[in-house]
Amino acid sequence: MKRVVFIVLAMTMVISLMVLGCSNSKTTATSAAATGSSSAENVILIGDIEHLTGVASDQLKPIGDGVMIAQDYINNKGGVVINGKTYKLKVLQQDNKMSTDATTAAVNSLIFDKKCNFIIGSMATPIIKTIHTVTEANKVIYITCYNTGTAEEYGAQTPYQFVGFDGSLEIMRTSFDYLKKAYPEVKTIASVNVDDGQLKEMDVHIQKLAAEYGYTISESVGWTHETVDFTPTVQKALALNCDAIMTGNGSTECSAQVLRIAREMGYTKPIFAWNYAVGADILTIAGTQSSTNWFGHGMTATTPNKPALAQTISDIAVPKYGKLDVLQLAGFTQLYYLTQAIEQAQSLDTAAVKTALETIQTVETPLGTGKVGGLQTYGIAHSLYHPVPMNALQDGKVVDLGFFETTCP
Amino acid sequence: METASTCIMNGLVTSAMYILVSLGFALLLSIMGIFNFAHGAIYMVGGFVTYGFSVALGINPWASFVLSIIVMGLFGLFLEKFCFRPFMGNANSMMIMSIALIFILETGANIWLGGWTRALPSFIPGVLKAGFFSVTWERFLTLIIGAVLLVLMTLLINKTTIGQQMLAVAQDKTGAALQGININRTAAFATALACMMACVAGTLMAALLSLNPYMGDSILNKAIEVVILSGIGSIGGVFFGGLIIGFLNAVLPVFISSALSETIVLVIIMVILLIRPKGLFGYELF
Repeated sequence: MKRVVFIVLAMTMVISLMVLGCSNSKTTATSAAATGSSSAENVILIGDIEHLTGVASDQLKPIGDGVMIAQDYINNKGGVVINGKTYKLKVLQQDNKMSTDATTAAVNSLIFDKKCNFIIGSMATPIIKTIHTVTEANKVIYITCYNTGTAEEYGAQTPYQFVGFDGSLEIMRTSFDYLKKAYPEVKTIASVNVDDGQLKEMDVHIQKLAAEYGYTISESVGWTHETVDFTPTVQKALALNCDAIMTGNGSTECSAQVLRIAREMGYTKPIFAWNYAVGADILTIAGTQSSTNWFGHGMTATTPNKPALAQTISDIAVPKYGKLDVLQLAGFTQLYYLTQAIEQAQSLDTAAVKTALETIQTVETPLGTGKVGGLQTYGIAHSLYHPVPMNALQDGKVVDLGFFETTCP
Repeated sequence: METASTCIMNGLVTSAMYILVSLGFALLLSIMGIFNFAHGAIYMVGGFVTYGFSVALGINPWASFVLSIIVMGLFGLFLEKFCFRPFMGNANSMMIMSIALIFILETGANIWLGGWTRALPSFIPGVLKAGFFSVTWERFLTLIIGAVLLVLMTLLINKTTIGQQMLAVAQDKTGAALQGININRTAAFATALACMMACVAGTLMAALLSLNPYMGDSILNKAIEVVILSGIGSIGGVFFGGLIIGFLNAVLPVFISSALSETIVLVIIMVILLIRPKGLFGYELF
C-alpha cells in the first residue's frame, strides 16, 4: 500500500512538472510571438546569464527582469534597424545559479548551441570570470552590468568585455562628492567590506580614490558570506575611531545591519554605502530608530525628477514586479547600450560592434546621458558611466538626494 | 574595559542564538537519528510565519509569536508523518528527503513571498545600559529565551513521561516498543518540538537580524558545528558547544579577520574531535 501511494505521488509530481514545462514553452512561444521573433523575421540573439536562483538571487534577480523589460521596450519601439532592415531582439535567458559550473554550462550553451555572438549579464566576480574565459576565447562580445574594480574581473586582458553600468569606483566617487558637501568635517573613514578574496586589491583602489578626495581610509574591516551577526565587525570598525563608516560590496543586509548595530552602540556619525542600497530597504531592516545620518545609492518608483526613460521603466516594473529596483535599470542599460552600439555600427559583426561600443560618444541610459571611459582606471576604456541616484535616511525617513554626475578617467 | 564587556555580552548573545537553533536540530538527531538538513529551512519558515501574522495580518507581535509556534508544531507533525516516517530506518532516503525539503521550502518561499530581505519589528525596542554593559533589549531577550528553553528541555526530558519515552526510543527503538512505547507518537512529538524550537529561533533572529528565504543556510552550518562539537546524542552538551562556538565567533573577528576567525573555529573543532572523536559529550544522552 505504501509503495502504491509513493508511486502515485511520484507520478503526480512528474506529470505536474511536464505540464508546467509545456506551459512554460507555450509562454515562451507566445511571448516570442509578441515580440515579433520568429524564424521568418530578422532576429538578434542575445544570451543573458543572470542570477535567477541561488545565493544572492534575492537581490540580483531584478537585473534579469530589467533585461526582459529592455527587450520588450526596444522591440515595441520598432527593434534595431541595420542598413534599412529591422531586427527584433530575442533574449535567451539562462541561470548562473551563482555557481561556476552552471555558468560554464550556460555560456557554452549560448555560444555553441544557440550561436549567440552577444552575451550580457551577471554581477559576481567569479561568475563574470567564468563567462569571460569563454567569451574572450571565442571573440564574443560580453557586457556586464557591474565592475568591482579588480583586475581579474575586467581590464586590458579582456578586450571583448564591456561594463554597461556604473561600477564600484564610479559609484564611490559620488559618495565622496556628497560626503564632502554634506559632511565637510569628515577626514577619516572606516571601511567595512566583504572579504571574498578581493579585499586586499579592493583596498588599494579604495584608498587611492579616497586620497584623491583627501580622505584617509582604514584597511577594510572584512566580513564573510557566512557572517550571521555583524556585531564583531561593527565593533572593530568603531574601534578605529573614524569620522564616518562606509560599507561596500556585499549585500543590503550588511549595510543595514552595520547601520543598526552601530547606532545601537551609540555611534552617531555618518554611515554610508558605496554600493546600490535603497534607503527604503535599509530602513526596513535597520528599523526607524537607527535609520538616520545614512546615505547610499538607490531610487524607487517614487523618486522625483526621474529621467523619462526611468519613469517608463518604472511604469512597466511596478505593476509587473511590484517595485522599481535600481538593478532593473542596470539590466536594462546593459542591453540598451549594446543595441545603441549595434545601431551605430550598422552591423552585427562583433569586431564592428566592439569598435562602436568603444567609440560611441554618448549613450542614452535610464539615469541620464552616459559616456564610455576607464583607460586610466582600468587599463581599458570599456566602462559606461552615467549619473547615479542617491538617497539618504534622516530621522527614520527616506530622503531622495537627486542624481549625481560621476567620471571614469 | 568597554571592549571586554562588549565582547562578553556579544559572546553570550551569539551563544544563545546558536543554542536556540541547535536545540531542535540536536533533538531530532539524538531522539530519531535524523540528520535534518532542512532544519535551517524550517527555521526560516518559522520566521516568515511570524512575519505573516504580525506584519501582513497586523496581529500583536507577541500573539503572532505564540501563533506561529503552534502552526510550526502542527507543521512538524505533518513532516514526521509524511516526510520522515515512511523512510525511518533508511538513513540515505532520510537524507535525500531532508535535502529535498530544503529546496522545496526555500524555493517556495522565494517564489511565493519574493526573495528580498525583510525584518521583523523589535519585540522590545530600546537599549539596556548597566555600567560598561550595553545591549539591546532584543538581544537580551534572545539570551533569556535561550536559557529558559534549555532549562525547559532539560526538565522535559528528565522529569516527564514523554521525555523519558524519547530517551528510551533514542537508546533502543525495539526495546522501547516492547515496553509499550508508541514509537510513532514519540517521533511525532519530537519532530513537532524541534519545529517549534526552530520557529522560536527563526522569529528571534528575524527580529534581531533579518528575514530572507536563504537565511537558514548559514545558521544550519552553525547548528551542525555546535551539535558535532557537543557530540551526537547529547542535548545538554549543546549548551557547552554553543558557548564555545558562540564566544569564538563573537570575539575572534574583533581581533583578526572574519575569514581567518571562521577558519580557526573549524580548526579548533577538528582538533577537539581528533582528541575526542565522539565530541565533548557524545553518546551521553543527557
